Amino acid sequence: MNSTGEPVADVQSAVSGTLRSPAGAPDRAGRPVGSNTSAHGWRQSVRAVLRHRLAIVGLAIVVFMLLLCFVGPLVYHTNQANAQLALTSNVPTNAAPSAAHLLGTDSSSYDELGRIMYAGQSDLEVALAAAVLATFVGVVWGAVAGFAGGIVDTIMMRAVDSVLAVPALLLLIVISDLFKPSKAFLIVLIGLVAWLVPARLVRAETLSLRTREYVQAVRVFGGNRWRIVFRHIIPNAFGTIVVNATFQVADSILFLAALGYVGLGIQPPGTDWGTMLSTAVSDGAVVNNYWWLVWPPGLAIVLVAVSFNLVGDALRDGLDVRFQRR
Amino acid sequence: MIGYILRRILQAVVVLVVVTILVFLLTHLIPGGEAREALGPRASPASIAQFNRINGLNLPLWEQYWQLVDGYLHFRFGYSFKLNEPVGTLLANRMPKTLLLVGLATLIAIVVAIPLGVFQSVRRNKASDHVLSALSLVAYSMPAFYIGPILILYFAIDLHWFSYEAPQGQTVGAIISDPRALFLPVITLALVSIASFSRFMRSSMMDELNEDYGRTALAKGAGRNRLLYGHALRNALLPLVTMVGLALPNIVGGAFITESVFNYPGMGLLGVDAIFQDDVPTLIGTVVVATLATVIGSLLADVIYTLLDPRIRYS
Repeated sequence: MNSTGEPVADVQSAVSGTLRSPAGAPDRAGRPVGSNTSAHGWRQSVRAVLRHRLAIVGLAIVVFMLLLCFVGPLVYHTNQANAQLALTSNVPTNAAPSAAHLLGTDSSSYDELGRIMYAGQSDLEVALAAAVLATFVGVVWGAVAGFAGGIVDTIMMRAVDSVLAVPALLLLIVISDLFKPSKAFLIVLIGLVAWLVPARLVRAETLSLRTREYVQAVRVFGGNRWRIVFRHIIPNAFGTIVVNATFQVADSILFLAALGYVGLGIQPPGTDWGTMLSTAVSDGAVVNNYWWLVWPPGLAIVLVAVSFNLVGDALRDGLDVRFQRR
Repeated sequence: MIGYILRRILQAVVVLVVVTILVFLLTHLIPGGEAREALGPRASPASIAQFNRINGLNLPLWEQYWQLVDGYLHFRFGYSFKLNEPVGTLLANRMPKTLLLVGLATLIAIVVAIPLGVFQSVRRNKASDHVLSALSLVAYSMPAFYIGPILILYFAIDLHWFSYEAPQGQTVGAIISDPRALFLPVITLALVSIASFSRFMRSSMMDELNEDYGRTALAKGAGRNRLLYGHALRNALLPLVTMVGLALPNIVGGAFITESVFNYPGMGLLGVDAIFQDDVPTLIGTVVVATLATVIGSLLADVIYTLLDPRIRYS
């Protein structure tokens, strides 16, 4: 390995990995996902993140957005409960930013900054919960498939490949349209279309871990297969899992934003960033150049998605032995 | 290899069957049922019974499912009560336009991403590489309905370079002949794929450049360009075929949003309009056809890959 942190050869994952073994298969974003990322504990991941300047930027943005959305409303008080504020308390609609309303007001005279915070709570809750759910389902599915092997593995993984060929967004749109989901249901829906990639990663990891000596030692000592999967294989695949979970948050934010854009996001009285942007565009914010209604919600989506991607990239580079400096 | 392709086709067929079963079950789970959905909440029990009889909703479930599949096989995708037209007719008009949009965007994404990825792999960890990496990350995180209005605002409304709306032509020919209007929707849809393909090309090229055969080629006197384009690029291009296949579901999903942003008269706009007009049969028909097309597209990408790569010998 050289000092610049370049990867060494891994032709297997780059060329035939996607078809033969999903170890090196790229995910939706074209992020190559290394398989040999057995975790050496939290300390290493923390160090990995701190070494990357970009990762620190990403982490800072994540913390900033969390504080903005969850602590912000405690400092910056706005009325997000009553619609029609224009009629009851003379709050102007589509007002430009001012001292009273730092980011102006929207077409229903909600304070835009307060609305961003309020919507962000739903966005972050749904994205984080969906990522956790997707990771959990994917990890169990992949570990069981990889450890069982044989026909069980074939059936389970062909099922994953099959669902991957279906446009997830369209599936989400149809189900959301028919059932007008609540926030909890949205989490389940997004989680259920997003578990495929972690399933493939963990299966690949399991295939390599199950042949290691310590796993065989557990078997010799009489440990049953569930113990092996849950106490030994999954903890050792933890690096891969955490890295992917980070990417899942970014993807979930984008899924929810797209649903919001077609009117199927968080339903009133709640809202989300995609819904805010969609409402702004359909209420003429672009035509009338109400920039404070267009830029902020979009920027919030992009910031969160980019920052989680940055953190995930750094974690992966740090945990992947192929990328490590010596 | 033939065995692999046959198994892959079988797998695609299974996916299609599962998707149709899923859609079938979903339509039966609609709150209030299909009749209420079509006739409205104040329909009388008699008219609901009549609707169910006419549309075969009183038949056993398996027979209804067979009717659905039989309909799909004969390009019948239900009837839009809102637009008063068979969904199949609507789709026949719209689908070629969406294929055009998706095809052009994918093509442009590939053509732009390959040189970008190669450039980044050659200049890896230099400033230009970092800048391009950051840009592709932002592009990947940029929803089409955010970048779309921004592009419209600057390139159409301020600069007048392009039209603010997609071509409104009735035929594919009419749409192609209006490149000024076609440009922004295609670029908007291509942007996400450019980002993910170039990221993939970069890492794929970096892997290839570290291979032993590269050192051998250099030792034998091959020049830098010969190594890059004659050896590494050729090998790095192969997995891109798989990447494109994997990205296809995403591009089709993106086409739905992009079409609605630019008012592009394709399937996506039809589907999104159907959401806002509560036109369930049209939405479901659109999504089913888009899904079928995507599954077939992914299948093609996999088959092409096996044909291209001489190293693949599937047992």
